[in-house]
Amino acid sequence: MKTKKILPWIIPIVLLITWQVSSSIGILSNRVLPNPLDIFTAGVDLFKSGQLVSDVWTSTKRAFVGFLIGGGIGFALGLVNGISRISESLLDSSIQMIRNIPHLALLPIVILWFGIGEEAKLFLVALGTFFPIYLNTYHGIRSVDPSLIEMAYVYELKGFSLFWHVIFPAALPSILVGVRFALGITWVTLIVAETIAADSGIGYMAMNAREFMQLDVVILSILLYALLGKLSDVMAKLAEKQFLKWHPSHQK
Amino acid sequence: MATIQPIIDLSNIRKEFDGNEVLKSIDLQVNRGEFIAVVGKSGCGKSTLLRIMAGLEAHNSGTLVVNGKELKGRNDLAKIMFQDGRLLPWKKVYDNVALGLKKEAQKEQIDKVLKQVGLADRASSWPSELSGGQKQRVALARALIHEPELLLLDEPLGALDALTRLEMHELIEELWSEKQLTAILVTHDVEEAVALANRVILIEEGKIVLEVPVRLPYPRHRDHPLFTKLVSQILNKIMGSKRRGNPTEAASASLPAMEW
Repeated sequence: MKTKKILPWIIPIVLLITWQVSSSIGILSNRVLPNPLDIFTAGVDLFKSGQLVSDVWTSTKRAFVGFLIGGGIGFALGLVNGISRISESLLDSSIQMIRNIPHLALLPIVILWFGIGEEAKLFLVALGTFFPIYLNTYHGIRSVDPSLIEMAYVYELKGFSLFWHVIFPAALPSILVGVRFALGITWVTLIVAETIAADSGIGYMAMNAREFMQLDVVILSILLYALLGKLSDVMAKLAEKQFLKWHPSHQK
Repeated sequence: MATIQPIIDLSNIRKEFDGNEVLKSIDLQVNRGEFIAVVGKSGCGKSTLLRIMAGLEAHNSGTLVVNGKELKGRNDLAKIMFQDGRLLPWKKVYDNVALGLKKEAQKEQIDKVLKQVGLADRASSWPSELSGGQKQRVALARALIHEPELLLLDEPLGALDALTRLEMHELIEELWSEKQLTAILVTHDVEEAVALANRVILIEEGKIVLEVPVRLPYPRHRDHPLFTKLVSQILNKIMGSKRRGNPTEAASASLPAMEW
């Protein structure tokens, strides 16, 4: 039991120690890869100056707002197209067409349209998160068990109560899969967008540090992205656990 | 004495799916308080007949009169219990039973019906935590809380093991007599039909080919001579029409089929 908890940590810790030691005795040049302690100190310094917090906050805000816009539109359209055949035939094929364009390929044109302002990042994040949430919402609603709908008909459920008690909860597992996908895309999009076109945020911090050869700050930025990505995934998992308590795969 | 109006009056009901005639000319009167069992091999149209009576399926011709009025759409006198229970997995037992109830529905009402089906202590369980028999008890509670005049049972015990089925027979019989329901049970289990119903109807190839009244007091004992006689009479009819005119062989051949 206890060994099982320790086991996964052994390799990361050994790697970290090897990294630190080989850097200290000079095998690994600081110009190639700064050692963990230096990175940590750089982080503390940036935190003290307030730059770290402000850049992380900027990036998080972008991720959150972009996700909310793209996810919100995706959810609404997925809902409407899942429920209404007319709306589906009108919109779905067009949406599928646009989906074939990789959203990051739009970066040059987005820079031309919006410059390096906030809109550019929000637009790309929203576009990137729209599709997984749209697809999974639409698919979730379309795959609701028709026998449950019939049962609901026997119990005289219709309109909103049919949606709220039967259709939406049935689609929720699929919608939440979409949310997790979308969160992953959010951070990848931000990394690209902030690295190429930004004057604030974690990506900007990394590019700025590159100019001054502050390798430790560059590595720190990469680690920050990893951390934030992991954090959103944990949050999505918690949401799944909370909302899908009924699901056999979420019961202990 | 005036003739009592049947709760359901089917005449000349015909139903086809894509040119495939499932029911041909069914005539049936169901009287208030009756317990009717409809038996037949799978694919004989017995479930379709039940779904037509529930208003879940439209018939192609003939008339279906419920309480003196021709049925249009859902039959609001009836609640139907399905073979697969159809509980909402994301609602706890209590909320599954409360489904479709008006807001002002009383908590006592739900507690009472859960107690009747013997699940008072499972109100806050998820359906996935229940056994097959318990799930069907919840489905039964959900139907009963609406106090339907007509309870339609579409092979509700088909997926349960033999012992659980006996328990459920007892429960259904109890609730039927206590609430003075009219019940129609579709089943492929002849013994189950004879154990529960006042009248057993056999459907073959979309037609009623046999109608047997069961005049045995409840609770019924399966070793009662009349019980065994009725069961074999129905089985002979089912098997006899397959193997023309060899009832003795047919009856014994049918025995293994009873096991499951």
